[in-house]
Amino acid sequence: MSAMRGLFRSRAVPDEDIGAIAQDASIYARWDGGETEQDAHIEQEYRGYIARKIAFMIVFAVLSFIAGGLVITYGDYPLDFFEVYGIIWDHILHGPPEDPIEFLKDHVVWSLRLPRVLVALIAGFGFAVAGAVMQSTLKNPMADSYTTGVSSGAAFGATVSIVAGFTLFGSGVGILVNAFVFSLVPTFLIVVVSRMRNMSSTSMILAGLAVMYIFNALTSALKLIADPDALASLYRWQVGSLNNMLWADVPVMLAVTAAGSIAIMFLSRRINLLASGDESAKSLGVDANRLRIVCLVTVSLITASIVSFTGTIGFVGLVSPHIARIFIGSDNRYLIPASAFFGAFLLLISDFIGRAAFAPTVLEVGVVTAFIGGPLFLYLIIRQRKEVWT
Amino acid sequence: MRIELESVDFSFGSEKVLHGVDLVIDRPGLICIVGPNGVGKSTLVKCMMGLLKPSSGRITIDGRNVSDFTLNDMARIVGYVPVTSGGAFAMNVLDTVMLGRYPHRKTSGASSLDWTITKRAMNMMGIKDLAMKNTNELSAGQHQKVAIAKGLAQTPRVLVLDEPTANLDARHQLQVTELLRDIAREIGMTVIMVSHDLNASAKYADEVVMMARPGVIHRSGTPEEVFTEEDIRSVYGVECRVIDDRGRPHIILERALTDEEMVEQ
Repeated sequence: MSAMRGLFRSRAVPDEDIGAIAQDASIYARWDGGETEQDAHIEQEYRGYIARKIAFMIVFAVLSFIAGGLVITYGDYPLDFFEVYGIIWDHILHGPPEDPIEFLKDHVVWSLRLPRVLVALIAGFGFAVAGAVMQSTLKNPMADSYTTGVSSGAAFGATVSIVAGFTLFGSGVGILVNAFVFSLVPTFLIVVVSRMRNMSSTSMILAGLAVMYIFNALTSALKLIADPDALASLYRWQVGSLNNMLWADVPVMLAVTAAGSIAIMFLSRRINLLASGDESAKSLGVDANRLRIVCLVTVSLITASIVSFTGTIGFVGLVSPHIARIFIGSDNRYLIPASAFFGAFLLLISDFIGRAAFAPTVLEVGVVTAFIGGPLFLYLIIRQRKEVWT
Repeated sequence: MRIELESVDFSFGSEKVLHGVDLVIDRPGLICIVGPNGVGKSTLVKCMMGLLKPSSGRITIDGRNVSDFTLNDMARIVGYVPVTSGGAFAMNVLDTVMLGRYPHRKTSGASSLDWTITKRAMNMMGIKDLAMKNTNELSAGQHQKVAIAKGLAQTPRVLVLDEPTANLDARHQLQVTELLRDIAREIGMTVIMVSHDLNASAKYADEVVMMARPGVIHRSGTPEEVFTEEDIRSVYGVECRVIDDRGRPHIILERALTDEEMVEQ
């Protein structure tokens, strides 16, 4: 907690007390160069540049909203696109309707289809925040909660609590706490490895993949003692799936992802300082290592809260920041939310493809995202040899 | 601003880098730290600004222990321009220079003062045209200038630069060094610059600190006091002639000493 306090507090010592140069407009006046046309141009261009970044976020927020409605119309029971929003709105305002036909529609939309869509959006959002933060704080383009082993750690923690009935607290929260505790194992390893000298970003990811295999093996070993019911759900968990999502799965995931993402947004400007190196960040007043640890623990918590319900869905967190970066650049104040909205959209669409492509057989969403993310990951590894990211 | 180091030792693990360094910098101006590779120039400046903690000794700024400053307070009085390294994920030049305003932030957004200072800092380094470019599209020299502009945007009382002219061509080397000297004189900033360029140091520095193996201060003072034929010979292991160039020493390197001659010293 003291680390958190240190990060959010800025102690205001008056400039004259520490002998700082007075902060007023007279400084560097000789080098002003006058308010030239160029100046006005720069500010105008800069405003446009920021507006484009915000537009990207809005576009994908709106697309997610529309896609959500479209996905809900898909299924055995036919529904109209606009009808879906009407039903949801009425339910929010008045609760379930009494008319039998309306009640059935409401049940299909509200109880059967909406939770899956919401979970897809929240999970995509959260994984993308985690990926963007990991890539920026570790300065590693290949990092996300999957490739660093954080997801596998969380999945193992959740599996242990289900199979062995071992939890620190009761039921649902207990699974999450367990998942979080085990997700910290790879997080801790990353922090240690990232501080080693001569550690390339590829070797850091290889360490993450090794941890992933160890946790996956442990999870597989647990299958031996699992009963048949648990076995089926364990399979879905290892692949990553949004099948059978219920309203009960939404609140914890939503609350943790929202709280974590808000905390990260407060730190996003600070994360930018890490780009030019830890010493440079420190010379601008930010303890780089502490910031990195706080960020990684926060995104591990987000990851754990999602993985406890969906299992390890890979590569959404890897792909989304890369796509967002192409359009809006690497400024984390915009990159993190833009990746998040893109990630929400991407996961929703991936899940839909998994359901629709081989209907009525359902392909788990984790398989679909692996098809999308795997090739990008390969490309990044190959390009790594040519470009210097360190 | 008075920076004082008293018998400062520093070790990386078992390797001792600084040996009992005593140094006082008590005037604004351009101060050049010179010396052969590996004598601990970068380590010395990092200790001065609290980036590294000395294993023993005392470092004070205006009488206050460097370790007593919070990181943010330190950032408002001491700016640092490291040896440039390509950043991982590039931002645009304007945003990068604006990062220098971070320690002075009062609100989350940029104030009009932040804008004014950022634009002037870019103007000083002649990089206004590049404002909207991504930093990964820049040449090494332009990259260097962006880093210096960021340090200037920090409006520190002490600006520490580690080999700021290493990637610049002759014209830009002169421009940047002259600019740093002018800022030092006009604003009363203490500009401390680690440099390998003996003649630029001799020509522009108000004070030169010459370091020698094994991590000690060989001599500090005015360029005339520090750059003598004997000092350069013993510290750098090269034979040279020092001539007078309008009141400033100018060094003409003659030849490297042979290994046998080095042993004799």
